[in-house]
Amino acid sequence: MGDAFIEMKGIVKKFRGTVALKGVDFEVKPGEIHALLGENGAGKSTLIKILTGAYAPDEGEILVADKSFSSIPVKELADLGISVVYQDLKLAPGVSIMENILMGNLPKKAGMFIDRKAALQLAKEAISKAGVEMDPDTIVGDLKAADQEIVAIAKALSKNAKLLILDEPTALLAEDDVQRLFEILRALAKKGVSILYISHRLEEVFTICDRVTVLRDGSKVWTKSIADVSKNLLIEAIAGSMHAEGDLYYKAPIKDTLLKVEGLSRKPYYQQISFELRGGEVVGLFGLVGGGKSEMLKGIFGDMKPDSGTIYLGGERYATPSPQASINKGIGFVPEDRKSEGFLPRMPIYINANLPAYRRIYARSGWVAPKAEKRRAQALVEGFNVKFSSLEQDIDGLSGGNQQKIVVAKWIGTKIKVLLLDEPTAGIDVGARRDIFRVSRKLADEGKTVMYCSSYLPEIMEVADRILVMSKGRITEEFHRNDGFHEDEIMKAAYQ
Amino acid sequence: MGVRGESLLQANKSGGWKKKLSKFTLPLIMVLMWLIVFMFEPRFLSFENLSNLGRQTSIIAIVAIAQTFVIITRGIDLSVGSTVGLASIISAKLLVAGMPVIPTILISLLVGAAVGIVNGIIVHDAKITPFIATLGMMTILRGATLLQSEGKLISNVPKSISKISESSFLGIPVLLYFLLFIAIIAAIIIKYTVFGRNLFAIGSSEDSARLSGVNVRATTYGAYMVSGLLSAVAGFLLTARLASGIPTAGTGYELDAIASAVIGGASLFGAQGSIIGTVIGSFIMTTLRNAGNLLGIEAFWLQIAVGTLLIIVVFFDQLRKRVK
Repeated sequence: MGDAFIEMKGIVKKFRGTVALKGVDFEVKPGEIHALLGENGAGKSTLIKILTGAYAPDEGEILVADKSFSSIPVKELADLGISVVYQDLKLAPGVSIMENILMGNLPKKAGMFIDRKAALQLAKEAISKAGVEMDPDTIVGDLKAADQEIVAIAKALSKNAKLLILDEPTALLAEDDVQRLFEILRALAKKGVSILYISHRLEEVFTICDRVTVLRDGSKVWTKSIADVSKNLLIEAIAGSMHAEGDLYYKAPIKDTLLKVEGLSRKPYYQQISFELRGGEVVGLFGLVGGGKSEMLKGIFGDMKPDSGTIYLGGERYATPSPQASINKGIGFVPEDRKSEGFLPRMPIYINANLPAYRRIYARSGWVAPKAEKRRAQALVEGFNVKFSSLEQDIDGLSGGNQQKIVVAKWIGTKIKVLLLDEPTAGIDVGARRDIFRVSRKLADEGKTVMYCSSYLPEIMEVADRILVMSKGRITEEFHRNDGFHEDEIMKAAYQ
Repeated sequence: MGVRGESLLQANKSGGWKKKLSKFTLPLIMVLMWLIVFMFEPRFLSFENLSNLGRQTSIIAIVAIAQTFVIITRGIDLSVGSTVGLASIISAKLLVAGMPVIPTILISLLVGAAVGIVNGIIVHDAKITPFIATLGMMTILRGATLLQSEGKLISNVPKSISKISESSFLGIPVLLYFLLFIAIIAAIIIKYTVFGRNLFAIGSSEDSARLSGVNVRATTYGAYMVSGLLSAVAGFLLTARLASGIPTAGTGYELDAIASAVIGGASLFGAQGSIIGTVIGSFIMTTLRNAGNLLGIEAFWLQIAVGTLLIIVVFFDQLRKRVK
């Protein structure tokens, strides 16, 4: 080929039984802005990790400037000219722009002192490469999100990047800042820097990118010039023809409204959210990552108060003062970040499984009996197919799927009426996913209600009676199973 | 379900005996230490010396138990030593002024609990890291103690009080009964109450705990309050033991208490620790000092030995966890 800066041929990557990439061919040309699209779990992050040397592919070849590699050596990443700007930027907020840009490569005098003059010079060069002007002595934490993004890009450029990988660069930016970032990216591309652009926002892809590659289920769907692609074609390629895995859905009798939300807002996360959850239904909330779903759920649960709006619980107005109060009222919540908010690390399974029960069941007397606790935990996790060796084992040793099952199971035993699930299947295997589906349907069948939030449409379509679509902090549309779920329509509502 | 049978089998095969063994490592180390010292100096296991060892250990062990409550929540309480000092001076003054024992103890305890709650408020509500919050409190309290006593020793504490520390019951020093009583209550609280579970929960992950309904504020206040309370008990017992109130009493206890808890298996990362471990940790530390005195080893060397022991114990503990 010769004309591509980087070329991947027949890349296969397997993880314990599952195949994350099934023989993907992929190339980025010099000076091109190339979009990489796909749903969560389609293989995007695996591909990026192979490009940055974090993973070695099981099969295939990678050509960087016509030099062949079986895997990218991490140590040579900078020499090869590959740089990544992650979604969370990985900057040190407490120190200056200069020190962030030159972190690890600060020029030295006499072998130990910082050569401030040279450092300033290098930092300024990097900043001007990004096409902006900034005072290198400004503390990064004082900058607004967009400027931090630019610092991260300048840092990447300071290593003479020829390929810049941007992971969701606009996730935290306001509209006019996005335009500013685009100008910078266009100018970089003109200078011959290749940009690999990862985003969920399709409009942006049409605005900024030259070509687009879509991944689905670990395979490449196609690579096309953006001029040959319509939005509908793109959505179809990303979502594919989705078919349910079987017969997990069954209709439960619909009962009274359990939770009603009216005009709930918290800036800048979500605005004017209104909906009802009735006993007997699983309501899907679909929206892109960072679209305000998690904040809204925490608003209802009482952990992050809404600015305005009203919540009714069983017909009565409820002020959501705290998670404790919500749990007492029968609301359960499975947070998105399992590790830091979902379970108790370094604690045994039986304590994790009983955690909310200490408030609901044991608090009256104040006493707990380990034997009874274990019996209770055993009953809870048994209904959930959790694989473990001992109830006293720390939860950390379990697989993500088994951990999540315990996090969900702990709510089942606490007489909840409303269960809020935030990305409950992130990073877990198909079997565990189906167990969580089953429990959601079972709760509905028992007359309870489940709000199932996810940025992965197929699973919502499989489990939900209704789907609310959230886009940019607002609920844009509602779909009913009776009318049939059409993935393209739902996707369109999400990208509105 | 099929999974259950399989899981129980595995538990018996792997988890069981190793866990039991590691449970007994610490007492084994202590007994081994005693035997080694005994070989060099038979007087060590004399009844007299053992009583002495018990007396030496009880007060610091009570402070270490106090510390354990806070360490489990992933906090630290550097003010325990100063609380001991303050309670010691307050009780000495009250006793000298002629107040009976019971009200004296109650007032000391009240002061200790109040100190703890203020610590809890600074840590939880002002969101100042425990290390800094209690470092500040440590300095404040030592200043207050010196002010209260005008920097002077308070003597003439009634004889009946110092009897508490000297007397024995069934041949065992009364101070040890105090320790035993407090340790049992503390162990029950930690193992069998919701409050105990909550201590571990916030030490493991405050966010997870909060989102599962744990009252983080009440639990944090509770941990520091217990710490202040038990430190005040230790302060009173110290006054009894020394038969006087010494304004600098308890200096450095916070570090001994932390070391005892850590040797006993507590982790400064929270969610780990036990009362029995802490008590044994205190005995191991005191044994080193006591044996050193008997064997005529210079006190300065003993300090070096205690520090080394602390590092070695924690190193092996980490090693064990990494292997696991």
